[in-house]
Amino acid sequence: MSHRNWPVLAALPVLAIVAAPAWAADYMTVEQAQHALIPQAQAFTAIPLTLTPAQMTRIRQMSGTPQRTAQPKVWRAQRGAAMLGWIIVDEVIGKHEFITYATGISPDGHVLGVEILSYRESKGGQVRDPRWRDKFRGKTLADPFRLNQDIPNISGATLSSRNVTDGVKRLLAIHAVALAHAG
Amino acid sequence: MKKIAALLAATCLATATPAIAADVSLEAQVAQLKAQVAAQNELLASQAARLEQIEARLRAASEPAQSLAVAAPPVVDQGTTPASAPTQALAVNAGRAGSGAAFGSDTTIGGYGEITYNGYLKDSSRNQADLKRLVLFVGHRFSDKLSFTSEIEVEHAVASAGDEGEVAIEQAYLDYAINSSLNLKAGLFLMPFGFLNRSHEPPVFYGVERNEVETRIIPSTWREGGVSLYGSTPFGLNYDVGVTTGFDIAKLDDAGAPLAGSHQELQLAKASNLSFYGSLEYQGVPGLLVGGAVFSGNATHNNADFKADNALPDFSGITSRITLWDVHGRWQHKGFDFQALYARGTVSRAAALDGVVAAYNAANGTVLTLAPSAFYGWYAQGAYSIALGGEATLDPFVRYEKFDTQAVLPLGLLSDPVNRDRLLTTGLSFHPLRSVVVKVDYQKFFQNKDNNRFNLGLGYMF
Repeated sequence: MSHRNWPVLAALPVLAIVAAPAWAADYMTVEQAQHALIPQAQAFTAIPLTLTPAQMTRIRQMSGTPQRTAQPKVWRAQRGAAMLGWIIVDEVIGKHEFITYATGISPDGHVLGVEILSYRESKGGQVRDPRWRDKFRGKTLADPFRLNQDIPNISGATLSSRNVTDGVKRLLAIHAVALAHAG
Repeated sequence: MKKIAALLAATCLATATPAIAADVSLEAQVAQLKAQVAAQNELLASQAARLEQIEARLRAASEPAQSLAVAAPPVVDQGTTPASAPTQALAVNAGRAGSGAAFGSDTTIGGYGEITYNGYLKDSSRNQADLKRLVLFVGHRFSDKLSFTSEIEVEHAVASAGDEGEVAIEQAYLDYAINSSLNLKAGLFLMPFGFLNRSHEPPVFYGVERNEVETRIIPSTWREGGVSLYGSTPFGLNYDVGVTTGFDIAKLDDAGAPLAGSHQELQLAKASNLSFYGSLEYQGVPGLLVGGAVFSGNATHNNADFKADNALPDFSGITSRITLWDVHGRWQHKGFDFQALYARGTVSRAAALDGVVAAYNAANGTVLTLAPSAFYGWYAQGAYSIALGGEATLDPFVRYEKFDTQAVLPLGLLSDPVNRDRLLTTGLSFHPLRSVVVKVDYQKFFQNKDNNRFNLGLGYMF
């Protein structure tokens, strides 16, 4: 590229910005995630849940990662009187910034699905890939949740994929400790 | 009668005197009390002012914590299906677990580092221990779309006029997220070639030392200044294209690593000509990555070095282009991790360049490095991760490499055997925690056997 082509350099960002629609780092609202994870549900009712210190300790023991907040954000999914499962919205850190994700959990503790609500880093966004997220479907606390074992690693996004994997297991532990018998 | 009246009057007078005295005393007491109340009011006002000051200080002191909480505000309204914006409904887990620590909600820090020991089997005088590098990451998010990323590196522990260490900026760029599949970055950034150049934290690669191919052929850590558009598609294809600075062949000083010996690292980089690159990677199947990249750019910059200093070789009339390409693949499945890469570079008009350099060396008694016409390398690697309980893993690996940094030389020049080799590296990575690694390996060089060595390493990232 000769110096006469320098204007190309300046034009690139200008073109890109002008041509592109407005966009933020958020891919999905909580409501959209709820319906994507348990589409047959008619209502999602927020459950005010406060974990006791003993429960938080138990969650850490079961999942291997600490539960940082005593008030996880939980919704009960229902169709009429039938309880279809739970939605928990949570955050884990990627490499340097937070990933916000939602996990659907069946009444008996199976992962119904994982959705990424917000991803803020410039790299590692492959955790949004539905083919990767589908690998969580059906998993229970009995599964190892080990990267490159039962959950594939994403080359170049190791930290993000690892921390989401740990996070989903931790949400299953929340379900087991505080929700499984709540109906 | 008059006497009685006079007596009564006298009595009244006599009794009236104490009453007057009592009134005077009462007034004095009232005045005193008023003064006390006024003083107390003043004291209260003063204490209220102090209290306000203290509260203001406390508020100021707690602001960082509040900023922190901005990134993680609780979803307090637990009504049915909140209609709030997702960012308001997000932050649930306020802990900063994982890598990176936050200052406020917008600035993050992180880093990585490694200490190595090389033990040579045939000549212990070459044995060496080194704090190879310590790198600090600082990032800042200006808005949902605009962020800044930087890495500041110190190599070999000490950087001063009398030491071999260096301080370098590895990355410093602004990143603008245009939409979910299109991002723009501008500044000094890592080139998307191979594996190591972008992911070079010690816990994420095998072996104490970075592999030879991604050191000698792809000059990790390779960064250029420029502008790039990158992103990923819904079907798993990642792309990255850009216009950047490039190499300066006139400053070539290492025949064993042609591009590391002529890279500019955005340090007063010659930029008469710019370079282009493009990269594609497919990750549509979880666990799989296949990709490749190509870079090409003029490396003589209108004879810029000679024009700045006439004591240097004169490449006038020669326009040389450096081109590098690579293909790479990785498959991770059930604990196995297979990886392979091939990279090849060319220097156009190397004969003309080397003719000038050879004449210059002959005339000046110098030994300036000659440029190769082509150089290449490849490797294949396999590893397996053994879970040890908790986060701990033990990962044995083996890697075979071949490289030749003077694969094609012009003018009938003979290559130096030290610049080509085949080597086998085998060893272990022990991760007591995921972000910490202790490594040990052995490297057998088939051509330059004196380089056979075992290595120990300690690495971390946060």
